[in-house]
Amino acid sequence: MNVLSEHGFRADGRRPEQIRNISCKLSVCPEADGSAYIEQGNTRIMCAVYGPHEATNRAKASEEGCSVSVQLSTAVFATLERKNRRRGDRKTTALARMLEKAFESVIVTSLFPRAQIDICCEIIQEDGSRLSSCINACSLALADAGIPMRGVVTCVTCSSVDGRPVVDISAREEMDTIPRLTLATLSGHDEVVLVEMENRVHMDHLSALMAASHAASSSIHQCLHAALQQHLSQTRAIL
Amino acid sequence: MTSDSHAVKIVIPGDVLYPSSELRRPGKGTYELHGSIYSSLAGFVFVKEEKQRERTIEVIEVRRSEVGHDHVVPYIGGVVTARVTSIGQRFAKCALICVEETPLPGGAEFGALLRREDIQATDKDKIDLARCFSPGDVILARVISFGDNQTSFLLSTAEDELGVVSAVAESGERMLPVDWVNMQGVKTGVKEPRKVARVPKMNQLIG
Repeated sequence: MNVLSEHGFRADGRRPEQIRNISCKLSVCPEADGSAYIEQGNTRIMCAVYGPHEATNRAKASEEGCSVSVQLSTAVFATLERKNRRRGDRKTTALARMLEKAFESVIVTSLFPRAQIDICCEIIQEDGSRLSSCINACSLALADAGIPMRGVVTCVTCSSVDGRPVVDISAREEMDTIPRLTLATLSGHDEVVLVEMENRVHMDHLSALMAASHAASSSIHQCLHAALQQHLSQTRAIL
Repeated sequence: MTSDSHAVKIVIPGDVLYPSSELRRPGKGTYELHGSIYSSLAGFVFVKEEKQRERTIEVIEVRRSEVGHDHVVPYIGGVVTARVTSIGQRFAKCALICVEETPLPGGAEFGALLRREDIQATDKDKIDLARCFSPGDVILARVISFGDNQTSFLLSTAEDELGVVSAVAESGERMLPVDWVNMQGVKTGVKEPRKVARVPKMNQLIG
């Protein structure tokens, strides 16, 4: 199955450098300090942030700053086949650790010594690029919780087909063994927060792939920026 | 000397607010990097004017709403309000409910330890912990240390203004301070010993 058709379109009708539709809601979960719901195409993610509160893991608590703990779970009905997933399998744990590391570098942790911030992420529907969508959802939830960050992190998963970069890939495109580059940047600029590579890519194609990922990440940043601004102007209207 | 000027600009983390200069200072919710002041919160920009030796300095702040700061954690040197949860031979366990003026949100209480030698500045070895505190008392204390890995925050009440402000009697009724070492029940008038905080205004009220 070809990712790009002979006319240069993808299976869902997008162009190679086109991201999926993003729609998001903030403050969806009243119990949490901050929460967000994001749809990127058919990938749907709910994220809630709790804290900063006293560290439950004393060994991890440090006087220099707070720790970030991420719990990632996937709904039974998230994928094509119904599947009961055990909590804490290897893949999910690896993703959760990556999220923790990414956000520990972005949150101004020095403000909250000996504290902990909990992030709970639930994948409601999975249609590719789940790590990137989780990061985008967490960014929104953290901003909603009012936790000081150096910027808003946005993330995108891209691929390269015959040297042509294809951005924000869906589950159908992920099925092929094509290279997958997940790139998270800060505030849509050049600062890279996280980068992850799956499968292999030819070195000649890498720079084009990176450039396309940067561009896609900053367009996602524009979407999140607009969403946050809209949410804030609404809360202002209530005040 | 500060005065508020209301700005309506909405910003999100990572937005550039102003180029930094000698007459500008990053305040709450902002940070300074590479010659610019950035926002670290999603909220509204406020510019406060501060007088400093004949110069007026602008303090840039980003707040989520009109009322100040909402996330607080205890810090060394800060005065906290705590509830005594249990009493031991050598220390009392407490749960922090307030840091300075800001209450901690429900469910986000921090645990803390008040050691026997930190109760009073004098006669440290003669103190009987049971004659100073009892479970349920609300105390004012100062955070003196973060503690090590096993213990949480360490508190001290070795100041005149620190100690019990509201106590629970053995009978369960509320007690208020009468002198340096005694609290009296509001209904029965029964006295019990405590390490009383001499809060200036509270003493005026009681007389």
